[in-house]
Amino acid sequence: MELLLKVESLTKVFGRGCEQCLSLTGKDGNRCPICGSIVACADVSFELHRGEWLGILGESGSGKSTLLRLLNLELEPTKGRMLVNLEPYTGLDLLSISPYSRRLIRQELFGIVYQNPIHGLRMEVSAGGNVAERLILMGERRVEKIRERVLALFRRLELPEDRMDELPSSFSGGMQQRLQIAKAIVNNPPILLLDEFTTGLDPSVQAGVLELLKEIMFELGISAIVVSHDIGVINFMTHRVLVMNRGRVVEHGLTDQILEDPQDPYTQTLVHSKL
Amino acid sequence: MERYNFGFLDEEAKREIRRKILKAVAIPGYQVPFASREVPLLKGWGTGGLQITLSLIGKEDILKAIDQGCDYSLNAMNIKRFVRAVTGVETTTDTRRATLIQTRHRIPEEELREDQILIFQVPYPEPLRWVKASERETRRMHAEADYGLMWLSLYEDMVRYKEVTIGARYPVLVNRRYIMDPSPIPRWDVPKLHMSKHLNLFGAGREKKIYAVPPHTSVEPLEFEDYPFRVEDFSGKACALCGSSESFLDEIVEDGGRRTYVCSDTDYCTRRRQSGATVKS
Repeated sequence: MELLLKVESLTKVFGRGCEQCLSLTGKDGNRCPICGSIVACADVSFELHRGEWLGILGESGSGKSTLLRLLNLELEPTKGRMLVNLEPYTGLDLLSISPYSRRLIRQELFGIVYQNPIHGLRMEVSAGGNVAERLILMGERRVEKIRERVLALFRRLELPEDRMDELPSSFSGGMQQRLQIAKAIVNNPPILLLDEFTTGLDPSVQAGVLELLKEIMFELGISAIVVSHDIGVINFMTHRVLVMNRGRVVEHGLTDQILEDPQDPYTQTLVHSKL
Repeated sequence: MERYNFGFLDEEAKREIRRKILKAVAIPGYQVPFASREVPLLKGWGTGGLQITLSLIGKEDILKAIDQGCDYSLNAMNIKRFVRAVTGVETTTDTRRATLIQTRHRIPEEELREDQILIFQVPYPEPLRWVKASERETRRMHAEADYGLMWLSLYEDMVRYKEVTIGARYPVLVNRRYIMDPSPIPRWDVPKLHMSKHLNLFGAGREKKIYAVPPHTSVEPLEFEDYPFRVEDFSGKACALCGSSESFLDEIVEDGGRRTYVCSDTDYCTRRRQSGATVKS
């Protein structure tokens, strides 16, 4: 498979930071005993290939959400590089560029779905407007064309067409998540980032959203990074998985293999704790 | 008046304002913070414009001041009187003779030349304030050209009302980079900023910002292709004094409810009448 994204020693330390932060954390906790900083991500490296769905599995506080926010270029990393293999950005380190270029590249390359719709949607703007924003930012200036595209996505995601101009706050939880998905894929970005996006939905709705999303991702041939603490979601949605604990990647490999035969003690606990 | 420095402001203050103007000209549409001084005028009555005028004016300059197109209204008269008192320069109502024109909410009908400078009084310099209350956030949005929210507010207007509901202060994109508030000029005047021959300077005294549209710079109103930007519609109406149907008109409601229209630009209207224009009846 063709390489799409290469992440090298991505590190995020919240706080002052010192020389010892990385070496003194990871085993018992991720607060540095010397300077008190929190090491949220330490030297995370991985590759993402075209069409590949990569899982990031870990419990609360393992650093997986920080990692996703770093990948979405929302957070300034302490250290690390992020290289895309995609024209015209091939060889460009996305973490070294100005906030202005970063925003332009981000909206072209990434779509993101957050756990909490409040983070992913503008609640004061109509549902259709939420989906339309990226199209307008990418230069589409015809209201008719914009609405056609939004409508098509509403149909594809089984959202009620006649509520396109209502505020998303009047939508149910499942609908809000599907609206976030529509917003994330409206301009066909090559990479989709999913942050615990089914947590908070009841199981039947969860299954429906997952099934639909998987179908769409398959149709688009989109690559994805799926962050979750839910082994079921990881198992259903990903080819490969990184297991994170205390900001470190403790194990990685094919999803089936890791879930069937975990090697790292932490992964073993995680897998066996599933009800 | 010898107790005052030429132009009222001290030379240090003038230099600071000139430096900020140079920066504003170098980055069209970008709001440059400046140390707005006290001037003997209430904030909100053109102190930003006045400080730009005072820092640029020289002994040879001829000043015109208008308030919504009118040379004779209180604000314009007081500004002219004050500048005369602290500089001794000549003032005029003739758009063609003026080298500096300080304006509140209008651009003269007569096209300005390369050697003229138009100075706008700006109440609210931040075009994104409609959609974002925080100054820190709007600065970040300008820096990153993060204009999604602004566009969405226009999109929502289209969806709800089939047109943009903004009258004066129509947001524009300057030099294809910064969204700018053109001050509360009518839509009618917005196209005059595009590729203008003259320099446009904007001063907001209370908000402590200076910005500029240099000559020959693109100024595009934010618009959707299928709902294009429109100026005010005066079709079928003409000035009751000079008969012009090509100028921005003020509506006057007379006793008894009869509506008439006159040119907002008094100098333009006067000159037309002097050259023999009359109302066709």
